[in-house]
Amino acid sequence: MKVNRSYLVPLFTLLAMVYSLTPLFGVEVKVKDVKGKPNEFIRVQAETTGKIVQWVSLDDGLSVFPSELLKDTKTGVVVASLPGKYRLLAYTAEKDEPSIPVICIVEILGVVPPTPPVPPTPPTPPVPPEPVPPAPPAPIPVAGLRVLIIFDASKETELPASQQSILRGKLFDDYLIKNTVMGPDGKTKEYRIWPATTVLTSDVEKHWKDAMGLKRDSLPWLIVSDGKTGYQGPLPSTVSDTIKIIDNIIKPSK
Amino acid sequence: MISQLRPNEPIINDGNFRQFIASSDVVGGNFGHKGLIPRSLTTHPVGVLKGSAPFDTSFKLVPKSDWSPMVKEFTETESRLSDLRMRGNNGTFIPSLDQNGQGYCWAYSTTMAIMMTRMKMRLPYVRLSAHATACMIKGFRDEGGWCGLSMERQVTHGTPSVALWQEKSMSRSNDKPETWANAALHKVSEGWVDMASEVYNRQLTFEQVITLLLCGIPVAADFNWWGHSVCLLDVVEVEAGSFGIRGINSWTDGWGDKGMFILQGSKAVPDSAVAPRVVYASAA
Repeated sequence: MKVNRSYLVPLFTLLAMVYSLTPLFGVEVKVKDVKGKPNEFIRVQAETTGKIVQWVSLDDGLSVFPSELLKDTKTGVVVASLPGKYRLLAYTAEKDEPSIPVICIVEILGVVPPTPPVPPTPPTPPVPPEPVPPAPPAPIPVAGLRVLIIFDASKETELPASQQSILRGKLFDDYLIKNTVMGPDGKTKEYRIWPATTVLTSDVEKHWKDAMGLKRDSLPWLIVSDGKTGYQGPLPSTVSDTIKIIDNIIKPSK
Repeated sequence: MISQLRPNEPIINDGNFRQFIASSDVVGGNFGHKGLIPRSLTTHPVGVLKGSAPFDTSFKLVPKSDWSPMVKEFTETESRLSDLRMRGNNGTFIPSLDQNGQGYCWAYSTTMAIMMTRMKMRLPYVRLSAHATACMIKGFRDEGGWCGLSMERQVTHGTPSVALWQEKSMSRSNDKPETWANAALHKVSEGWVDMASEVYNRQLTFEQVITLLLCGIPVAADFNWWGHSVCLLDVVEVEAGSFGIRGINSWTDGWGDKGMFILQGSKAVPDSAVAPRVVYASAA
């Protein structure tokens, strides 16, 4: 049965102090400090006229051999596995009168192992970068930024005002004039805004004919190409969103 | 806020329209410029011209409650046809056409509408020859017509560049194969819009024209009170709730504000109107 000894130290300390002041108490116990090695049985001898001596370990790590198994309880037997100093208390009684409890030090020799250091927190492993998807192929495989917008002329009156500003507004026009390449005539920038039913004459450049022939899922439709990569998809609803798509072709975000 | 009105454009309305009519000509019983022969809906009902389609089968009307906000939005974003005209010639403005000498306004109005449509499509700027269309229809006679006649030929034959048929030229030497090969590059696609109503229902024509202009579709329009045909560009809210129409004339940039003007009130309601929706895409 495990004894809860947490209360014993202050109790016996108090009693030892009280009894030391009263020479009127009869039997005495005297115990000397002892030393020993780890895991070795260490004898502790009590000098007393009392017949039975009780031994109590006050510190964890020091074990006391059961007294009832000893031939002579005036000799206590203890053992500890770790070096250090441990407190051992002894008391007896005679003619129904207890003795003053005494405390001795049992020193287990050896180097007290240092407190193991707290292992460092392992570094957070770096998050592997997400794989960069390959750039989509250029819808217009000719060097230079080109933009083609295709719309349904029969539904032109139903386009929202924000998309009509893409087709005709100055902000988007200025942006395209600044960023698209010059055409072969040396005057006209390479961006077009064509109804889906536009008939292309024989003198129209091949890359525009091919771009008009690309598959489309809906109208209005946006095609952007710099000759290496590009975008094909529904025309966004605002000028700013359309410019973002084209900006991402000019300067891809990482 | 950008003003809807241009600084020098005349506003022609019921109060001042007589200033703009030539007193020497009579068209349809009224004083007016020569050149416009009013359309007969008996001989030429809407939809009968080759390649045309009536408005009703082509578009949904924009409700009148949307006119004012749309006009404001397109003024602020400089999305009007007049704005495009001012930058459509590779960043500079597209000059007015010049019909001077012949009563061919009915061909000049449609020719400018075709050039504006090319500009909308961001095609290379080409100045087209309205005289070529009118001369071929009238056999080189200086006679009047109406915008639908001109548009019909511009569907079947196209319109040549002034490089092949000089503007205001009545010379038969222009009529040669290379002229019509070039003209074929500038055809109007089928499905152009034909609008005209009897007198009792001219408000419908006005609303149809407004719808197309709000969506950036230029309209060639005949005005019997004026004896004249012009190309219309924008809707303008002249006063709160009062809408006029901005047009571009064929009397050079010296007239009006670089050729532009506004029609208001009953003078803004056309008697007949046509609109190209799609033109051929060409490199020149």
